[in-house]
Amino acid sequence: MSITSIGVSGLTAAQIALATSSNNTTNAYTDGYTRQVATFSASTAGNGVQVSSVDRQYNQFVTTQLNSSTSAESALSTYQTEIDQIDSLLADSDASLDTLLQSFFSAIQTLTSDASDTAAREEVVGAAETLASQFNQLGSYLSAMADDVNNQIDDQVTQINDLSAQIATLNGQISLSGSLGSTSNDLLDQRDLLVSQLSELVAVDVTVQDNGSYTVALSNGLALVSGGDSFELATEASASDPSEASISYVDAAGNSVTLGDSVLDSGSLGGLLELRDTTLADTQNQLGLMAVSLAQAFNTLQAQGIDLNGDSGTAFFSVADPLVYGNTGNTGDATVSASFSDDVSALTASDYTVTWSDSEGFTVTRNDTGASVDASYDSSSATLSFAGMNLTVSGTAADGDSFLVQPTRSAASSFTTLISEGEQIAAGTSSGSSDNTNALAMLDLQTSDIVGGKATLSETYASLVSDVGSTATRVAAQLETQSALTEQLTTLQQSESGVNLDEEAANLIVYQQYYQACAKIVEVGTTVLDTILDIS
Amino acid sequence: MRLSSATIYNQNLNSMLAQQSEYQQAALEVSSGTRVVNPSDDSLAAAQAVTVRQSIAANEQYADSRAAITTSLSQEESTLDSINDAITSAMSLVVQAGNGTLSDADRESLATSLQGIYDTLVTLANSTDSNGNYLFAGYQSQSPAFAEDADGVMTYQGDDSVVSQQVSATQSMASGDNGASIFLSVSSSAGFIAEAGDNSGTLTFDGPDIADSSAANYGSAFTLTFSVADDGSTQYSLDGQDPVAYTDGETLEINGLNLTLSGTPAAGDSLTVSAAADADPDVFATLQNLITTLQTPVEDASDQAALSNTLSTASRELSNAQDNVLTVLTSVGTRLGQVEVLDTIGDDLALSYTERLSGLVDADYTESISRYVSLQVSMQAAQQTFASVQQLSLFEYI
Repeated sequence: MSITSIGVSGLTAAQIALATSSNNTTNAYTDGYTRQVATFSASTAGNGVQVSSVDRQYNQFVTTQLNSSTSAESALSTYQTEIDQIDSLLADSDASLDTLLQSFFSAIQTLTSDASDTAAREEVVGAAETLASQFNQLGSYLSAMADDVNNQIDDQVTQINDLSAQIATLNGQISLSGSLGSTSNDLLDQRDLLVSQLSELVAVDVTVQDNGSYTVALSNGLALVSGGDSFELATEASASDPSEASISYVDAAGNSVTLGDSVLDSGSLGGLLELRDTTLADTQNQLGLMAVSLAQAFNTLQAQGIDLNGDSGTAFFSVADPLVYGNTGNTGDATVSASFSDDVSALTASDYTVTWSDSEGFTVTRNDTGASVDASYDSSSATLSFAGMNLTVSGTAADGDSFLVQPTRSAASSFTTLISEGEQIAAGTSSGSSDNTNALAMLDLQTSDIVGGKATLSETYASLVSDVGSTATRVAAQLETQSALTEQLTTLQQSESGVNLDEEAANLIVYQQYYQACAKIVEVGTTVLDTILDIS
Repeated sequence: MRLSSATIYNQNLNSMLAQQSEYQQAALEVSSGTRVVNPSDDSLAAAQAVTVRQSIAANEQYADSRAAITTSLSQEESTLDSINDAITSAMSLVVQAGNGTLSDADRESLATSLQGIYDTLVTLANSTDSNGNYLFAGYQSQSPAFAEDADGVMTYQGDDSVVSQQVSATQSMASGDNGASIFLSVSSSAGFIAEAGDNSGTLTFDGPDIADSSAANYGSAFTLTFSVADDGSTQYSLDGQDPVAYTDGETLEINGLNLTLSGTPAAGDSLTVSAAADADPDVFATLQNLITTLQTPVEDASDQAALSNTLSTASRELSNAQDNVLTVLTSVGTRLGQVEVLDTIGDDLALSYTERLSGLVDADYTESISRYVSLQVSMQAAQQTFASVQQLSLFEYI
């Protein structure tokens, strides 16, 4: 074999190596890029060198670990972004709910000093309106957050479907190119990048098939991508609560299966679902519970008193009735409406599910604990009473029909003052204009256990602050741990697949020298040939 | 371990960003002086702070109530002082009126003076506070406590209630007293009152004085009714019982009370004795009655007896009224004293609550500033590291 052709094989190899290094260098900061290394092997029978392959430096195991850690981190960071909003909402300020409650009671205290003072009465009405508007603001902000979370869930499901479809397409291309004997590193990089993006949204398990295609499945085994096919997730209004989006899986036959929250417990989608169903709903319910307790306690006192005009007191505040949703799967024609009973000391911040069974009648369970609740059913008025509420049933329920009751979910945003004139405050129990006995009783509510019969308004707010604060702190700490893990795994993954510029610089120098050396071989080959030619 | 350039860049950048965010947090803590703003800053402290703030607010409300009560009680105190003075003057006029050498004209002039005192008392009874509320009308503070009815009789228009307020977590206190308890009451220690009927004889009385507080029927009211027996002698019957012969200058002991009667009662004359509290005490009626009597010319012995009896009754009634006012005044003073004690306790509480709140949410400057400074140093270090590591590259040498 001629020296020249050996030299040329070296030149070709050097060019490929230089190109590989250049490609690595230029993609040093490209997302999803996997470092490639040109592998040299000696040609048979001393024919110089050949580049046997340009390999991706890729570790499936570390990548899978990293994706799973990314899912967990993404869930936590989504949760944190959302809970931080609630956290700031409850931050201490001049307009925080507890401060405004204090101002309201302080105005009532001034009223007790002189019940005939119309200015003091107006002060109470003003403070009540400010308080109500703060309740509304908190309530509407939280319900806007719930809407936003449901929209985000919708968006993310769309993104998941897009990514699944793209992965399926790449699966097809990769298995095709594999069968043609050439594997495209770029396509593999793209597919891994898509899987990593998908992992941020939802936790998935990836299995590599013999033909090199990925099967991507949810944690319960339902496949999102199988070979060249992808299967969609869909969002629809939840059967039990039409205000919430629920996620379902549509299989190849077009049947949809509703996915439980436990299936989607990781990834940003999991974070959103968890936030919506725990902290967000709890905060709305707790604030609502405060609003309902305050309204009922005040209205009861108002009704017992006499206002400045000598009339019996009328309701001071109003809150929306409990929300009741019939499950969309109900087969009976029963509809249920609810109202608060006068005594709301049994009211809680939990939601309830009411189920009708032909054998046992109505049963009620608390959604937060799953415990069953004692309820009394008065068949003559078709009224079911439990937890400080009266539910009126009209129509006939069928066996297995269920109803979701959200007692205080919308109470904070609907909390309003009904009294616009100071004279309407029933400060006394007689016609005397300075009679402050009822106002004293109102002032007493500040320190009475009016919330659920066991806590004051201020204690309830404190426990809300504590719940949200500790959850936010816990999530932040978990996120920190998870981020550290992700960073560690990223470093590990990068240590194999990442580009080191110094290394590439060294490679460039080495392969440049190598190229020069090979060129020299060609030159030597030429010189040798010339020597022979010169002989003649 | 092999490091990729992206890892080096990201790690340095992330550490710098993390330092920056902590530094910012520390700077905020130093500049605001507050450690806990959001619940997540320290959920336990934030929740406790809500409770402590509530206690502070309640404590302030009690302080406001006490301030309001102090104002109204002080005003009541000075008003009661004036009422006491007025009654004292009336009593000295009654003593003067008892002087037997006075002419009708002299008495007329005393009546005029008493009328002045009466008017003063009415004005005092209808005192208003800075908001125009009548002090002594109970809950009916928008109308005068006392007004003349159609018959010209001064009548209490308020009610028996008293405005009270919460002055501490556990105590509520009356911020005043109503007109009935000041002008239409006697203190519990008041004795007995004898009152002659619309008599035409010359009966006068001395007493009643307590003779035997353990006697049967002690304290029960009784009426003596006089009549003339068939033999022309005067006799009296006790609460309609069988008549008993009357002796001029005799001291009777009835229901544990001594009563000395003198003069000659005419048939149909009467004398009623009752506990002061049961005798419809009314300082305005007493004065009105006194004025009418003093304006009536004394023409004969029976007029003289009527004058003497009225003066005697009025003297006791005024003395009882004064005792009552002084009792109320003492109670006002006691309440003011209590308020002062509660104020001191409230101030102490406010201080301890404030310290507690500050301990919960305020930044500890020594700690915050040293943290701030150390974070500043480490952030500068992170920045320098970033800059110098980024400069290290083999490409610099190609």
